[in-house]
Amino acid sequence: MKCCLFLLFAILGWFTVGACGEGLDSQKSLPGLAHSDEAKEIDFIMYLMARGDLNEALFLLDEVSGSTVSLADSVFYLKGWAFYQQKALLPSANSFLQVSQASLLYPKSRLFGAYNLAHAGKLEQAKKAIGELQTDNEALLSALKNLQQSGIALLERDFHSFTVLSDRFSGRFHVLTTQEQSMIRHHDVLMTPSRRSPLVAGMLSAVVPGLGKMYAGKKGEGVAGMLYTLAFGATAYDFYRGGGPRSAMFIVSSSIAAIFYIGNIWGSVTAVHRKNREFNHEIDQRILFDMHIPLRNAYN
Amino acid sequence: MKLTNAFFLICIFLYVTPITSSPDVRADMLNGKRVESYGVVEPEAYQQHRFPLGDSLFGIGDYYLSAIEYERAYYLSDNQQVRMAANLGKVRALKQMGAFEKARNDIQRSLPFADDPSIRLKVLYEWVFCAYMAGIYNESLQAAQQIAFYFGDQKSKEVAGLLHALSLMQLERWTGLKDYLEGWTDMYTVAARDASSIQEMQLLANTLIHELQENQRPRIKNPERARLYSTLIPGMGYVYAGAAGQGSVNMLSQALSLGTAALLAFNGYYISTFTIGLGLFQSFYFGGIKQSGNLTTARNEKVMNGYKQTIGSLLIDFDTAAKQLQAKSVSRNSERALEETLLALYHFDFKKADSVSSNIAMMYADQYVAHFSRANYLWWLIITQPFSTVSENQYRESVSRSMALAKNNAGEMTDNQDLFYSISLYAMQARLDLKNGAYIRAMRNGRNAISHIERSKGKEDAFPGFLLTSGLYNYMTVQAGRKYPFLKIYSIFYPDGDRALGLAQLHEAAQSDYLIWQTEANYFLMRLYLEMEQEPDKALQYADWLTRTFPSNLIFQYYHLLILKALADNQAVLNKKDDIRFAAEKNRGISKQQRDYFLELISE
Repeated sequence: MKCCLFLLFAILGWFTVGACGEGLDSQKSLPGLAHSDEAKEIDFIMYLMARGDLNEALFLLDEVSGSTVSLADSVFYLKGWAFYQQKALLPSANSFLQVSQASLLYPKSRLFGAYNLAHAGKLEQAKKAIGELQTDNEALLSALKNLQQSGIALLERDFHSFTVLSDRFSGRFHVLTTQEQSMIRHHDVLMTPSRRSPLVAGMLSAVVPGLGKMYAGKKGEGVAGMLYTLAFGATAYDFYRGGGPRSAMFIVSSSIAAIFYIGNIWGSVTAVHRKNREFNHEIDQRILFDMHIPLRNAYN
Repeated sequence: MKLTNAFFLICIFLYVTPITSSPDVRADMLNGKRVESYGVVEPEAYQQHRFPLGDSLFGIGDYYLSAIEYERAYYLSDNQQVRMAANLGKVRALKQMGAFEKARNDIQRSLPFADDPSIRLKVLYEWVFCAYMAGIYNESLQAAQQIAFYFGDQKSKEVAGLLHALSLMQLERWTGLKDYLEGWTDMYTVAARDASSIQEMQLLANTLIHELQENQRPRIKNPERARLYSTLIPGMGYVYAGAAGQGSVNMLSQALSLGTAALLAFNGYYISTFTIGLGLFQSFYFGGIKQSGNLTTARNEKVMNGYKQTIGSLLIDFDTAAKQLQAKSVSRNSERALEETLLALYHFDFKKADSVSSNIAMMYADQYVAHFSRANYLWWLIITQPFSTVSENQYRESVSRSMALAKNNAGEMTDNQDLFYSISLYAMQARLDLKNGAYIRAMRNGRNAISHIERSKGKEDAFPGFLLTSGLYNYMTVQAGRKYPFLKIYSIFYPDGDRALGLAQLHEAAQSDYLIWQTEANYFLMRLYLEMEQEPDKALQYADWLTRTFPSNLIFQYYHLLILKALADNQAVLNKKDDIRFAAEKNRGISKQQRDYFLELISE
């Protein structure tokens, strides 16, 4: 259930990013562009993007020569947005990160590019990309960069770096305050040692089939496993009682019961691992969500 | 001036005429040439709005790029009509790409700006088509209903009847479809004159209506009932779903599992009886219940799809038959409208002539007779309102459009009626050229008219309209050459005429029982006797007939006045002037400019 909730958050996050892209429509033209044919072409491309004609926009962007640096930056930036709206994270990041430092779009592009890489699981590259962002002592931009870096640290489970970075959380900017607090909460949750042990789960299932799965948090699987194992065990006993230990029916049924019994113990061990993966995935989605919200608020 | 008059008579037997905006904006808009209502997108604007690029890309089959360029044209223009044309172009390209979902989205943005009826019809039709192809049947039905709302039931059925019916079918609104078909059939039954032409359609309609009756429709079985049957009697739900074989297997499986349970119990394996025997039984039992419901649903879907396929094929056949019938009906209607327009003009009811000819040109934009009718109205407007701002280009455009359609429709124009209209159209072009002093072009068009007249000779009995064309030709080639010797040089390239035969043919046409031929022949005889023969006393009888039959017609009245002047009957001249003044004042079918023009004429 929680997983679904976080998936929903993540999806909503995408849509809000989409809304960012649509915000381009209100922009008459991109900064730094001369009033030329190419600038007009860029305007048309932005219009297409606002309409949701992303493939067409990308097609035309490939045709724009990018004769000047500012034009090339605009092309990279728009490609980044178009791919982003198509949820093509890596091409989006690749385009965003090609926006030159001289461009006014550079900070935004770099932040979103790094975020895309983080979302795609390319944490090293994301860290490098955000690390290269020059903030020029601009307070909000520095705070955004710090939040992104702390998010990446959490995704890497680099708690030491996170502690260093989170010490810089100022709470000064309303667009960040809530997410800074959330990051600390995520950190606390991650730092809480898991009470579930695969060994314990296996032992519990060895004693009472299915109990280990219940311990791992998979109650339904535990009950089902218990019923199946008991049913096969009881059948084996039945044939043992009626036909003795050498009867074929006993050998077959007891073999099946044994497979179910051992399988249930192994399943309990893996259930703990699965549960841990699910937990990590959920917390990662929360972290990514909290990395994304401030970007949206700051650049919408 | 006299030369003009003489040549006029050669070129002009249907002397009436004129213009309007041609309503077939659709085709031109699709070609990116027209937009405005409705005027035309000027060549500069056409270039400016990148239509040529979109068109060219479409032409070479690059629909993706074509759609982008049309979108660019839409984006660049502030003119809603240009945007409309661009959007229609884009939708056309998207349709070629099979992107119907996108096309249906895009077409809807033009709807609020489609004020012109023909454009609105086009936009709505595209919406119906794209929504249907995108599988959004509720929307296609809704759009089809909008066509009916704006354009009436008849037009709606003519244009989008098939899609409307198919949408109803897809939505399984069988009663609605049956009612719709009955209305559709009635529409053509009323319109068709001969029973044989409607026979095929009626047959198809009857088959369809029969198929749509409740007892003919596929029986939809209830999956819940199937599950209930399988709950009560194992395998029975399968039988209900039409899968008796599978039902037998399921029943046997359940019996075997119960047998196993019994055997195990008999041998004292009580636990195994429960875990194996009853375990298997419950699996087969509950699985059977579930599966029988699924099979019933699948069976319903299959049967319904088959039924829809049958109905769909019948609907397509029905629509094809309806279209054939419609083509006949359209041809008849446009001819009827031409007759109505001419009679309104003879009665000098320009308002009615305008209404009839513009409506018919809009409704039957692909019929040359419809544009011919409109061209006649416009010509009358030109000659009765010479100082008005009515564009002669519109007249020329109507004639050209009519000519192009006539050629498309009739190929070599072997049919008498097509041949007659063809002569008329060349003559109509020539007379405007002549009026404007474009003598070379007039001669070229005149030559074409004459070559067609040649082909019509000898067919006067089969088609009395040729009495007019042949009569005028026979008379004028001799008499005009006699009166204006230099015309002889021109006429040596053409077959000789026969003055007496010409007059005889015109007299015969004047005795026709068809009022249009009769009127035209009387008019030409009146003018020939007055202007060429210098025999006003003979011209008088024709003028009398014309003014008696059409007392409101100020042209006939005016020529009557000229004849009376030629006869020097002063009292009659004064009386005639009073008659004309009275007719002009009381006629509510003409404009103030027309009235003033004729009042000025008689004051000279």
